[in-house]
Amino acid sequence: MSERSPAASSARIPLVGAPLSLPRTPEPPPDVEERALARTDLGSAFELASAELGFAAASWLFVENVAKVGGDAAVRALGDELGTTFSVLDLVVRRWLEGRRRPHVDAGRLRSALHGVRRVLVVGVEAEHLDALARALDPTVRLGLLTYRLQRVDWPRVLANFGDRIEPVDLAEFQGWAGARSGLLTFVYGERHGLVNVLSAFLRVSGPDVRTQFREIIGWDVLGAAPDVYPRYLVETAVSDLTAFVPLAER
Amino acid sequence: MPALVLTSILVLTLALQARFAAYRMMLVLAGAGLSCLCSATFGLGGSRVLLADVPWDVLVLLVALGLLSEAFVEARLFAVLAVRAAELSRASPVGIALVFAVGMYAVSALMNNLTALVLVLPIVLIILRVASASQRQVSWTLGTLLVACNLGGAATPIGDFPAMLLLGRGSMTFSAYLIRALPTTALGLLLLLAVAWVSLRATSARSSGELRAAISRALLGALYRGVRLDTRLLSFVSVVFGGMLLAWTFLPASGPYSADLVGWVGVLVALAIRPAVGERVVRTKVDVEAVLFLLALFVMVGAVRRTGVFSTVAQALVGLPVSPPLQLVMFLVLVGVVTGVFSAGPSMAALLEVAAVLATRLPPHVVYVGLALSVCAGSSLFLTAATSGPLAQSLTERAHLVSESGERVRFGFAEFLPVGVVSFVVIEGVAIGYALLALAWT
Repeated sequence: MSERSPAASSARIPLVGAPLSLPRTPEPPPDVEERALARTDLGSAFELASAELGFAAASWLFVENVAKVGGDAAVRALGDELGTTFSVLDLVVRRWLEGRRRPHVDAGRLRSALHGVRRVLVVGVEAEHLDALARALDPTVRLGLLTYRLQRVDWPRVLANFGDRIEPVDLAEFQGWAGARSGLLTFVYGERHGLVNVLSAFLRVSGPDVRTQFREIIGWDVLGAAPDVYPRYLVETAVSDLTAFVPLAER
Repeated sequence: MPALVLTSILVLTLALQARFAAYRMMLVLAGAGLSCLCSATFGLGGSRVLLADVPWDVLVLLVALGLLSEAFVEARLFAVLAVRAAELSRASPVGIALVFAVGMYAVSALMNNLTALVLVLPIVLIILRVASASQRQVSWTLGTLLVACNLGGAATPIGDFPAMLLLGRGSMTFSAYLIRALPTTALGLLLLLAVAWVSLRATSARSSGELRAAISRALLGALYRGVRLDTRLLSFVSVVFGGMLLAWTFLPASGPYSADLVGWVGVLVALAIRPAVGERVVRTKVDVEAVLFLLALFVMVGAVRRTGVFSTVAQALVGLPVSPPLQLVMFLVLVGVVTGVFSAGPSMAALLEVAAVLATRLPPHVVYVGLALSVCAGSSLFLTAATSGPLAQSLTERAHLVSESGERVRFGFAEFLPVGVVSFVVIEGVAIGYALLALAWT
């Protein structure tokens, strides 16, 4: 992997809105293809994708398509450009370069963990995992999606993919979903030393007062390893805060 | 005195609503109320008389076609079409503009273009965002799309309000309008697309274009992965709509089964296949704002008409010491400019009265189709002249587009203006060309 320039990367891709037009740190890539791709500035596009598909799904989508057009050199350049800001993408880029591919999504273990639960409130968006969850659960089990995220999300567009199967749940009303047969499900972006990375929205709905109101609080790992770079959009929480942790099912 | 007062109320209200769009409804309703008050005071008739003059059949047709568009939305037609259009365009700068413009022209010719735009624009904006499109690309892509909507709206008698007014008032029959306006607007679209192609060609040759296009297509596929056509609903609504088109074409306009009645009955039949959906659509999707806006306009215009101002203007126009074709050309240019300033609804409602006088001296179809085309040209001049303009502006602002050089890309009045001026010249030119050729052949 080429040497990364964190200052240049993070300055170019803000949390929301326009990339700052700061001069790039001189770091001439070795060939024309890399130079072209280093100028791609896909940060804005990735932000949209990650907000509505999820960090893991968006990362795999970008890496696969960039690889298709420009090969591993282009994937490496993508990681150099956006990896510092988007830690999940950074990890996916490294995995791709190690020869690993998009993991298979298996909701079987999750279904077991949710046995007996009649209502499931999901925190966060991961397109493939939500699709698998909607398919795996009995149609009589109500599925809700917390419509709160730090990034801008077109929630009607996200929910339109599920017809009426998944209901939108506002932050102010999520406790209506609590109960003795309710589960709270959050996507997990890797586990390390008893800590897992989750979206900050999870902390908003899993305080000590709420924790006892849900029968199950489940973390579903969508990444398989914790990102190396600082997880800018994620926060850490203890595995012990969860009643069940479903690891990534590797292919 | 009554003529001066009531005309001033109309012009002032139109100017104020164009300037202060945020208070548009309050302003036009106040203007209409004041018109009724003054008309009653001058002995020209109060609200009862003015409301009796309102062409309710046009409003009924407008509501019916709006609801029919919503039925197609429920079948997820527009979202699926937009994703297909994105695939067809290969997400290239020129491809997006051409494919989506042709698509929106076709959609706008048959139904409410605002409903379709709300669903299509987000997809175009995603492609532009992934492409880090330049200001020029955004202005020309979105501008071409909006003008194509205006052209589509003018292509058929049910596409947009001006043509609906012609149909509703019996100025032209469905087929008489269609056979003249469809080819003429199609020519306008072709010319516009040629200009857009020249303008956008330069933005195609970018080093990372292939990568961005690939990501656009993959991203759209993922974002809309679960959106499927409701084929049963779509088939039923399409069949009913086909029946309505046949009825509009073949039932005599002067007969008891008028265009609005066909629309009224047709839309209820179309929604009857899913009564629950139909009930929800009728309760929540009627464009009350558009109906109230047009109602207020009709009242104000009706009050001015009763003073005889429109007849005076028309007589002055036909009294000009120039040939009738030149009089018509001057009228069409006036229509275009007035529409640009006051938007299509008000100018059409007012100037149709003048056109009716011109139509007594010139072939009516030449005057009316020329009028509809000129209104279309005026609607395309400024971003604020058509309702779809502010909608596109608002959606673009929310999309937070950024160019490759890191600058924020906007789509407001100034950014649209170059596209608008070119479109105005093209469409007005087509309108005048059509009128002169038709006069020569008549």
